[in-house]
Amino acid sequence: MRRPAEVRGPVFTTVLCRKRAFYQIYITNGMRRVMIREKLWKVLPTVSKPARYTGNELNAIRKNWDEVRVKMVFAFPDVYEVGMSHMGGRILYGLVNNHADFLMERTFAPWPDMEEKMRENGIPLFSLESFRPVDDFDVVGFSLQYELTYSNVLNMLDLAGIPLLSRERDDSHPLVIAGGPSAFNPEPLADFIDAFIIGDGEEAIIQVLDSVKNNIARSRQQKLKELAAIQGVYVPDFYEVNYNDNGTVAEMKPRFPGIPNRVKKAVIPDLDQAYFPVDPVVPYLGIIHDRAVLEVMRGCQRGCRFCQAGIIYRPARERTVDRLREIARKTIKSTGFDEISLASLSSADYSGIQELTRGLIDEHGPQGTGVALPSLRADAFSVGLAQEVQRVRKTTLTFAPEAGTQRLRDVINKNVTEDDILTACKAAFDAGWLGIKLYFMLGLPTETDEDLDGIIDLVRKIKCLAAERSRRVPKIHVGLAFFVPKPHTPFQWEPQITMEEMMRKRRYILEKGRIKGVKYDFHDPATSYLEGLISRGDRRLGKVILGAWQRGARFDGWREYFYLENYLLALEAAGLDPEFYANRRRELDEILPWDIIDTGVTTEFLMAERERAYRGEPTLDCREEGCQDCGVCPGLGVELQVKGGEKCAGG
Amino acid sequence: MRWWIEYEKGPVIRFLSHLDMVRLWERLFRRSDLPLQLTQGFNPHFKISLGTVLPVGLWGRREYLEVKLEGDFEPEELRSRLRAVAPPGIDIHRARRLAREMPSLMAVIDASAYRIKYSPDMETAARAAAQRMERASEIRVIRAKDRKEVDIRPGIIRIECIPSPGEFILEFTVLSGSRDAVRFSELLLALDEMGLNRENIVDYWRDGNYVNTDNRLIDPMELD
Repeated sequence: MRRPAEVRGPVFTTVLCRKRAFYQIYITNGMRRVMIREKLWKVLPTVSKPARYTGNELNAIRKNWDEVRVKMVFAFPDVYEVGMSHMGGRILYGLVNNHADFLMERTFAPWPDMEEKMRENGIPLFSLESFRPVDDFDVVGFSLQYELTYSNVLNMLDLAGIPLLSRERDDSHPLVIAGGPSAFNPEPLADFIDAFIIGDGEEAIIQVLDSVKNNIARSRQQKLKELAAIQGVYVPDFYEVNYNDNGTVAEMKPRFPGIPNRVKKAVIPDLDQAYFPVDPVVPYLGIIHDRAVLEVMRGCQRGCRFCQAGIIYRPARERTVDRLREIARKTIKSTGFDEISLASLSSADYSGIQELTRGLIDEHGPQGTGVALPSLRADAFSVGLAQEVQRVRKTTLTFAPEAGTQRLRDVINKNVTEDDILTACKAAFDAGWLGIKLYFMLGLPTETDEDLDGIIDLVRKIKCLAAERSRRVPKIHVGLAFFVPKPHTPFQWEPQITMEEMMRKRRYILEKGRIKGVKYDFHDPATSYLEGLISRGDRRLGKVILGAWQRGARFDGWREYFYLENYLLALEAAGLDPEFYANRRRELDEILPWDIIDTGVTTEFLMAERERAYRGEPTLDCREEGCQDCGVCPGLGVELQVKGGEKCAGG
Repeated sequence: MRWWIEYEKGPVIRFLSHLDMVRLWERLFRRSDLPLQLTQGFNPHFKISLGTVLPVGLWGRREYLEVKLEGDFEPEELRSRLRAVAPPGIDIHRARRLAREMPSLMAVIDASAYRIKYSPDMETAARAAAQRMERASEIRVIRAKDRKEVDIRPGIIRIECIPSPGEFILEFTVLSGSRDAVRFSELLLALDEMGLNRENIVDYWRDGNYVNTDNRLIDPMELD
C-alpha cells in the first residue's frame, strides 16, 4: 500500500540511477522539498534559461497538498517552451485542478545542461508548483506527441528515481500513465507505462483519477485492473503477445478475464459541453506558441490518406461561435495575451469561421489584440480570411499542397488542384504578401521522379506569379518532409522509403530545383527514419528505446542532440532488424501491433481507402457529401457536429 | 499623461530576463484594462519603457518603469488596479504623475545599490573585504563582456556593512548608466579576488536605484 506522504516518514530515496549506491540519501519528504529549493538556488544561475525551472507563473494553480485525495503530475517529455505551448496540457491542467479531490502540477524535461547539474547535485525531477519530487505524486502522466520524445520519457523517470520498467515498480511508486496522439500505438512504450489513455483525455482522465481515489489503498495490480475497465484505458501488462517465426505478431490476448480484447478510444460527444480553460498559465518565458488558444473544433473529415490525426480525432466536432467568443473574452481578460489563435486540424473548415474571426477582430482588435489562423487550406477563401485577420502583411502565408502532381494528390486524397493553389498564391501576392511557405512530402506511396519534377514546376509557377506582381524578389520557402507511414491510416501497411532513397530525392530536388528566391528546407532523413521505425513498432522495441537511452539518447527531436547510432546499436544488441519495422510492406491480413486499439474507424474502411488511393479515386468530405462509411460514428456512438452557425445550447 | 511606477521584482521571478519583463508588463497592463497609449503603425504596442534593467538572477526591491496613459487617475487608483492583476513576484509600490518636461527614467537614473547577504559567520571576513575594497586605489577585474581588464573603483560610490540578527549584508552603491558604470557581476568578481567565497552567499538583490546629484542620492519618485 502506498502510504500518504505525511506519514511515509523517512524513506531511502534513490535520486540517481547511474551511481545509485553512492547517492542513496536518508531524508524525509519535507527535507527533500527544502533540499530541492536550496540546491536549485545554487544551480540555476549556472544554467541556460533558468526561468524554465522556477514556476510561479500567473494562473499557476497551487492547491493544498493535504486537502486533496489524488495528486497527479503532468509530465511533458520536452523542454518547457514546447510543453507550455501544448493545448492538451492546458486543458487537462485546468480540468483536473477544478476537481476538489484532485490536484495536477507540471514538470518538463530539463535541458541537458540542467540535467547535468541535477545529477551532479542530487536534485530529483520536481514539479513546478510545489517543488516536490515527482515520485511524491500518486500518478505521473506523460504526454506523447512525438515518437522522438520517448527517450526523454525514460530520462525523466530516471531523474525522478522511478524504476523505468513497469514490472519493477511496487506499491510505493506512482502509477505511470501516458496519453496523446502517439499513444494510439502504445506498444513501443509498453514496458515503461503502466496504463495508457487513448483518445480524448478530458473524457477519461477524471474517470481514471476517480478510480485511483476509490482504490488508493489497494495494490498496484488491483488499481490497474480497475483502470482497465474504463473506456480508453489500455494496460499493456494485461496482454500477452506471441510472435510468428517471421517476426510478425501471432496474437495479442488478455491475460485475465474481464480485460477487453480491444481498447476503444475515449471520445467527447459534444465539445461545447466539454471543459475548456479560460485562465491558462501565462509563462514568463517566450514560448513557441505564445498566445491564447481557441480550439474551434476537434477532428477533420477531409480524409487525407497519410494523416493520422484525421483518423484518430474523428468525428469532427465543432464548438458554437457564441461559446468560442465567450472563451476568447475570458481568456484575454485573465491572461493579457495579445493574440488569439484559432486552433484545429483545419480551421478554415470550421463552419462559423467568418462570423467568428470578424467577431473577434471587432471585439478585441481595438485593444491591439490580433487573431492567428495557423492551419489554412490552399484556396482563395483561406487567403481572404488571412487578409481579414492580418494586421501586418509582413508575415508569411503557409500552404500545404503535400504533393507535386495531381495524380499523387489524388492518391493521398488531398482534394486541392493546381488551379486552387495558384489562385490562392495569386490572391496572396495581390493582397501584398511577399513571402509564401509551401509544404510538401517526399516518399509518398507510388511517388516517382515525375512527382518530384511536379513539385519543382509548381514552385517555379508560383515564383513567376510573384515576380509578375512585384519587382522585389519574393521569398518562397519550401519545406519538405519525408513521409512516415502511420498506424491507423490507409497507408499503415506501406513501406517507408529507405534513408538512401530520401537522400537521393533530396539531391534530386536541390539539383533540378535551383530557382532564385526559393529556399528548400528538408527534414532530417535520419530523424524521419527513426520516427517511422518507432511509430509502427511492437513492444520488443522497448529494449531498443531503453538501450538507446542507456547509450545517451535524449532530446532526439532536437538536431543538435540526435544520434541515430544510439538506436542502431541498441537494435543490433536486441537482435532486431530496423528494416522489418521501417521498410517492410505489411500483409493485409497481418496482425498489427496497434490493432489492439480501436479508433472506431474500421479496418475495412482503411483497406478500401488504400485501394482507392492506388486507383487515384477521391473520397469526399462527409460534412458535405454524406457519410463515407468510415465507421466511427456508429462504432463509438457519437456523431458529426457541424454547428458554427448554431446558438450555444450549453457549456 | 506620463507616469513613473515603482515596483518590486521579487525573488520568485529573479531569473526573468529583460525581455521577459517587458512581456510581463505588457500583459499586466492589458489585463488591467487601463487606457494605455498605443504606438502608431502596423503593429501597435503599448508605450511602456522599463527604466531600469536588472541582470538575470537578481531580484530588485525598487525598480522603475514609465508608461503613458490616456485620461487622468489618482495615483492610488492606478496602483490598486495594477496590483489586482499583478503576477506572483510583482508588487507595485508607488505611482507618480509627471510634469510634461520631466526627462526619461533611463536618462536620470545613474546609481544603484546592490546588496549581498552572507551567513553571520562570514561577518569578519566580509567586513575585512569591504574595508580592503574601500581603501584600494584601484580594483581590477576582467569584464565578462569583452574579456578586458577594467578598474571598477571609480564607479563605487560607497560600501556599507549592515549587520542584523542571523545574517550579514554588504551594500555597494555604484554608478550605473555612465562610462564608469559597475555591473553586479563585476562586484562579484571583485569579491572573489578579496577571497570571499561565493558559496557563502545566501542571497543578493538590487535594493534601489537613484539619481546621483553632487554625491547626493535622490529617490526618483522624489526628484524635482
